[in-house]
Amino acid sequence: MPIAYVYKRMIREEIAKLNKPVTLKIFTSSKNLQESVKMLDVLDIYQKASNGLLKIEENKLETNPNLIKKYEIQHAPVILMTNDLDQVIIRYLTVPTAAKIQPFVQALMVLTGTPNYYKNVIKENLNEISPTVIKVLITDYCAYCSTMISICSQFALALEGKLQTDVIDILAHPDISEQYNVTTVPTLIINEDKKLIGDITAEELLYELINKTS
Amino acid sequence: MYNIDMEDIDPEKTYDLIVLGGGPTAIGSAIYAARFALDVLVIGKIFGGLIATTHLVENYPGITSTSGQGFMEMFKEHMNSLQIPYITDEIRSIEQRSDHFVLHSFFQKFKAKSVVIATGSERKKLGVPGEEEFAGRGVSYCATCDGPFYKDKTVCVIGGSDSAAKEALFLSQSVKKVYIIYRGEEIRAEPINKKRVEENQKIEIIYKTKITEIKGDNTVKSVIFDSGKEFEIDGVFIEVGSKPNSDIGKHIGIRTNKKDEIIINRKSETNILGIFAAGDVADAPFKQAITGVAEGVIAAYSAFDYIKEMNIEH
Repeated sequence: MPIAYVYKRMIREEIAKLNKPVTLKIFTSSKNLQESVKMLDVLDIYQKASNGLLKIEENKLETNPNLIKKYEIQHAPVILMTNDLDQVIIRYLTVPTAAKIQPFVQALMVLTGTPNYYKNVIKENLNEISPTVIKVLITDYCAYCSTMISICSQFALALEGKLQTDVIDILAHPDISEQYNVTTVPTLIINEDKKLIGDITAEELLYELINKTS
Repeated sequence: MYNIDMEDIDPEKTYDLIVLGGGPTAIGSAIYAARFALDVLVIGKIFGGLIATTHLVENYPGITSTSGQGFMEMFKEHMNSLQIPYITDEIRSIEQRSDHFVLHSFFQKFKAKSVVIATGSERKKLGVPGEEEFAGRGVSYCATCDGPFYKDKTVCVIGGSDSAAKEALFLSQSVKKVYIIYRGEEIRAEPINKKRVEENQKIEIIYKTKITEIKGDNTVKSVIFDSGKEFEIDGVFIEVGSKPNSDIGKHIGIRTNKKDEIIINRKSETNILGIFAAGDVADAPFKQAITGVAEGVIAAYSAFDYIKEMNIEH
């Protein structure tokens, strides 16, 4: 299904705010061709509206085994946002449309230098946070998912490689939905161990990461 | 959302107005504040508020029908067109100084000459055993968020309000059966929604019944009625009203009523000069998006007036 006009307009408006160059890596798969084509089509809209600042580096899963291993790719298509050390900070296992547009662009802006709202406080607690992967399980129609993606993405960007955020649309990945027995969104899975549901505040998330109670 | 440039967040900067909240009341207030050329900032815990979780908005005059998310998208677009900055955060306390307020979140500190509290309300819990245990595993407070996980299953909606009726109607689109379980004798929905519920073959109302326990194993399997009967069910959607998020005001001495609603006058003023309130957090007798937005707009105008007076005095 082609992307709705309203989302195309939102993408163009949001990505126009980007003011520094950035490269995204995308891994596509012939086994998941329809989703891969959809992902590329949407990223093309982003790229064309970015005044040349956004570059998309496409890699095919089947012909890049070294990169698959390096970036620990398990599902494709997937978009990777990496830092200067080429560490994966944010993965999008979902096409960045609808409610994902704003946090996606916000993450790109912070990746390219826009100050991170949570960074100062997160840095104060950096030593108390262990390497973490947060899976943000969302759907397009979930009202609060956009805010959760934004918070988890900003945390990942602030934690300089210690935290990776995976954004996963569970309707596109029913296997993942079943794996974690998801019956509500947003759901956060922290290090395959802890499950948080509903709208978590940034403060609550920080306390979870440093294993304290607020 | 208008991305605020962090360089703009100067801890020493004093905004004309900071609006607290992420729903239509807050955004509507901010839009008018911006049109009054006030330097305004919006700080909200979750953009969209409760209405963003509503399946259909059909009672906002001028809009025939739209989803809750679609409704808030319009507010977002209007806000962005005026480049009103919005921050996702939660203000924990407000301090009053001689000519401004200091607002503290966990992450930042802000200053403003005036404040509008439009923090809305949150859904009440049922308060029965099993409710917390099964939260996210069969117990839900948001049909639009979680309804699709119950395709072809049997669910119940606890409550008799218009919101409960609308949740049941939404759920009926995908589930096998919806039971509305209500302690009263007649549901209190808007007549138009009550009629829709009564005509819907998938919806059955169980009156004069309360839930005393929610049971299950990995997920919800049944509920216990106050009659003692165990009733098999796959999902429980709780819609038993809401309580105002007024703690932020109470801490600074803002007067509230017995229902913890912030007391305001017709200018949306609270008992503290320079602090205004609007929407679900305030004490209106009939709360709707349109009435909340109206109060928020009046609050913005009152803040504009207040700041004008302050500037004249200085």
